[in-house]
Amino acid sequence: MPEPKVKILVIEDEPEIRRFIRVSLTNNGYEALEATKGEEGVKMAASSKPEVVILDLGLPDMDGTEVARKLREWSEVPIIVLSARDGETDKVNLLAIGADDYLTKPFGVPELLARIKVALRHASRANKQEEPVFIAGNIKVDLSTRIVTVDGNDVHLTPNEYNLLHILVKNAGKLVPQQQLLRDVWGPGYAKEGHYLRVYMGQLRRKLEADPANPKYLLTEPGLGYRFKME
Amino acid sequence: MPAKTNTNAEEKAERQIPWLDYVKSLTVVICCTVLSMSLGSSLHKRNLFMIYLLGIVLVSTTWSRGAAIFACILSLILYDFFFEPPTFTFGLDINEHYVTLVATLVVAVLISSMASRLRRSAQKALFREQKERAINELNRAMTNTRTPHALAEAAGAQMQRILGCRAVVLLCRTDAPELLPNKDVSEMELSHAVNALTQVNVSATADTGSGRFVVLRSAGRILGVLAVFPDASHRLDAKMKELIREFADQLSFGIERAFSLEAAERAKLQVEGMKLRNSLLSSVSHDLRTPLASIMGAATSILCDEAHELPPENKELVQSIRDEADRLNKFLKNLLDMTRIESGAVQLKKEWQSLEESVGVALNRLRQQLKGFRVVTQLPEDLPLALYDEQLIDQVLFNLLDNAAKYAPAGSKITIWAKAAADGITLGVSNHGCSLAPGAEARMFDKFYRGDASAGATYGAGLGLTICRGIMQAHMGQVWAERFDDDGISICFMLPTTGEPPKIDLESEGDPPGAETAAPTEQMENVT
Repeated sequence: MPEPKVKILVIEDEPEIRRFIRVSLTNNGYEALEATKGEEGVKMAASSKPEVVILDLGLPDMDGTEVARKLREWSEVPIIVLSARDGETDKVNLLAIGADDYLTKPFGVPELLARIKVALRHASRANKQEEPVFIAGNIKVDLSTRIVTVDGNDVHLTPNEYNLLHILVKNAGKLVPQQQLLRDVWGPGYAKEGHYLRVYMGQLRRKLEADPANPKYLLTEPGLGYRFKME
Repeated sequence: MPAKTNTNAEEKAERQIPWLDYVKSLTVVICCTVLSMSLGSSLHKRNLFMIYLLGIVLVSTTWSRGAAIFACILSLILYDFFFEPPTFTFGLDINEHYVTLVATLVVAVLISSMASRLRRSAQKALFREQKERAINELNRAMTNTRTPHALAEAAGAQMQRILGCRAVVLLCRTDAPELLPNKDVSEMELSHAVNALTQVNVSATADTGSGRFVVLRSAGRILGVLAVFPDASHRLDAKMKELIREFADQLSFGIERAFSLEAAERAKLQVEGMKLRNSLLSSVSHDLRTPLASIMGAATSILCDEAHELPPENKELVQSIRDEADRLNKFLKNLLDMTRIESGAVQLKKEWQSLEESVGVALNRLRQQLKGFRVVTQLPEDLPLALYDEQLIDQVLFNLLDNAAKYAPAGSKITIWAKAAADGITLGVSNHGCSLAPGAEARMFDKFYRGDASAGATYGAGLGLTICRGIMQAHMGQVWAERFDDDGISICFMLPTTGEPPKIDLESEGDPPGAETAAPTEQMENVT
């Protein structure tokens, strides 16, 4: 008996965009559910319990932000937002509401699939025990002993640097909003002190990256936050 | 000079056929004599002179003073000859009649001078009225026009009608005291007008060659020249010249107004055009993004489908669909940015940012394009934070690196370097393969400049560097190009220092940043 397919709900009003998302999802072994309006999407999410929601910001009946807020009232389902807008304020708002990731149109299918994978991994890991050792390329982080090595050599990190890295590694592949990092590492009073992140991320990159000005792992999402990139 | 011509002309007008007045006064006196003769029997001869006196008054009020005096003397002689006994002899006793003679003369002269004064002021009033009517007609002709050129044409035609000779209004360029060519004047006439413009001083007039040239001015600015070409048959008299002067004043006023109206109109159109262009472009670019997303998505979806591997040729075609969609998207972004910068709608969201981080963002966004180049970063470890709009400076870096990837030969080195100084941070992107013509360093920041087309550099829309310049200007910074070696070029920008970066609470343990080395470190990434 075959394993039931992972259900992904696509809330998008443009038929051509829905079409290619559906085809790529099906090709990659997912089951695609489609909704053309926000209202319909929220209902479908409640009835068919998808494991990931792909949400377009510019829906005809209600704003994408509103849809995300309604979903978050009762569900922890990962939300990946699609946006054709340039402004970053609505993206920041969406992340604050609890959206997990975003893609700016136009985007390639590989990016979309990568985001879905990351979202699914984190959703499933939420119930399980954390892996004690994290490895990405030449970087190894032992979460139990707090020892970080690059190419086998120990790297000395300050407590804040380590905490920063810890959060990013725990959310590996996922966008972590600036506010969350500032709040969790420095405390709630630092939510607007973005320059702390610039300085500390710079230090962290100098210790972990081969070229801190051309990082491979510790990536910046301008205006939004940081992402530890998995290869 | 103008005053002298004035009196000459008046005298000439008075002397116009002078003997005619004398003939007329002779006729009047003869008529008086005939009347006196017919009434002679019924009237006392002393009263007959009153008839002559009426004649003299008539002559004095109507014709010149000389004619009046002539009528006086003639009347006395004829009266004496026909009616003073002994009749038909000239036996006038001067002693007896001198009172009559003097009184009559005084009456004649007084009346004639009063009459001529009256006549003259009536003439003046008439001329004033004519002049006002002419000016009104000119103004009416001018108010119906909208542009300075139409005004000049209408005014010229109107003056031609009023003056009865050829009149042309030559306009000056708005940016330089230089006359615009006009099809109504010959080359020689135009050169005379230009002479008038260069020779005469304020409010002056010049009679050169075939015409009269009056320079039109307003608030010190030269607006043009009024040229009047009188026919050979009638020369310009003083009144005509005065009229021309008046016309010139009205014209200056009218042209000045037309110019400022035109400028206001142009400014209004510009603002409206800009608004329209902006809303059009932003909606177009938003609407274009959706089909672009479909194209990109469909192409990448085919490429991702591992179950149905495409034949190599078809795979290449699908790849080119994807790449071209990506390119189109970049053009769109540039267009949108350009409109935003040009409309002045850019609102800077300045925060303390790290240039190292921004370089990383740009390199990451361009990872695909920069494959096959040796990318070298030389940023000092102690590069301070700078106050800037992250999104915009990321775009500058993106455009500079995108440019380098377009022009540098495959496999060559692209260097990103930075230097911090007291007045600001300078960052540059250097690459080889520059085929710029000498002196193109400044022009390359102009809109739609695309380098030497023969070098195969027809890749972009030529907006990237213009956008960079706009963004740097908004940051009070600069962007410029420098050559090195034979074919090397660096595009650099400078962000001026705008105060101290905010302090951060450093931790007690750990390595202070930048303690080990302060010198630029060279790191290389070899991707092929």
